[in-house]
Amino acid sequence: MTLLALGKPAFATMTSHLAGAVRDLFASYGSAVDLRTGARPALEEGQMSMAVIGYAGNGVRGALILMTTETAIGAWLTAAGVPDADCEDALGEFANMLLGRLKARLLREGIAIFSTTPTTATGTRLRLSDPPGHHAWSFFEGPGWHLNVRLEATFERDFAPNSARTVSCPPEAGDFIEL
Amino acid sequence: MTKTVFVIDDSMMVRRQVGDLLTNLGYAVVEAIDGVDALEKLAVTKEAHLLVCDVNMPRMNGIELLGCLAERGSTVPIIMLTTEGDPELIARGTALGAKGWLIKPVKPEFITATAKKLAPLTE
Repeated sequence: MTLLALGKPAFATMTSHLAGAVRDLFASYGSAVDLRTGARPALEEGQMSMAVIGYAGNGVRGALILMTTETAIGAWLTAAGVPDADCEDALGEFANMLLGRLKARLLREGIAIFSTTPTTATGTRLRLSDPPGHHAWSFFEGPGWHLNVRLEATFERDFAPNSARTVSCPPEAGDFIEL
Repeated sequence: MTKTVFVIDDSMMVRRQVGDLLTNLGYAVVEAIDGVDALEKLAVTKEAHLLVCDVNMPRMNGIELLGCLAERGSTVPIIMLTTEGDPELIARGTALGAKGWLIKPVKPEFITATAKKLAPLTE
């Protein structure tokens, strides 16, 4: 039974799956990550890096935004075996992988989305304006680092999960399919 | 005899991960940042034995590149390395000749096994 079928609102369903996707992504690099429920995102005054990746599907569109420090990205790169890779590029790729995992989870709900390529930025006092529609920050804490994730979604009036596109068991990250 | 593998991805991190892995196995690696870059480099590279290709890329994505190479009658095996797991997209890739579909993050054992199978190194 999907969350939507259980009556959970669409945006709450997406944020629930996002939390699972973040945990899964970092678990694949050997890091346990906690969702700090109720915590305020740590929008620090110091230098931060941000990746924005847009998405759109039938009746829904929005963006996924990751904001964190270079220290955090450095830890992820070490876990990925490329410690000297470029931090902004890596944050963009992590945003891409996170949205990929979210997409797989949403397919189980009958929500098929397509994504853009990521855009990244680094600076101090990074701030984001409120988008139209829904948005929510989630604050995640890993071993010695934290990650702020904002999910944005605007639903059109005719939004509805498409049962014909529901995939009960889509391929998961790390899978190999021989064609 | 060494063989040449193209690693086509807009992420430098992924190109490094996959490129290092294949170089250590003895392959010659050519990096391309998207489909357009790959086509330009394929035009001047005498031999390509395997393409490892992302899907979501600027200018020309991996599915478009597959289509372009199919139109040209290319027989170079292509495996997709992507965050995309939508069965409809995988079916499109299959129809255009992709030989494998790997979902990121990169699992080294799948990359090495696939390279050895599709572009075996000879003594």
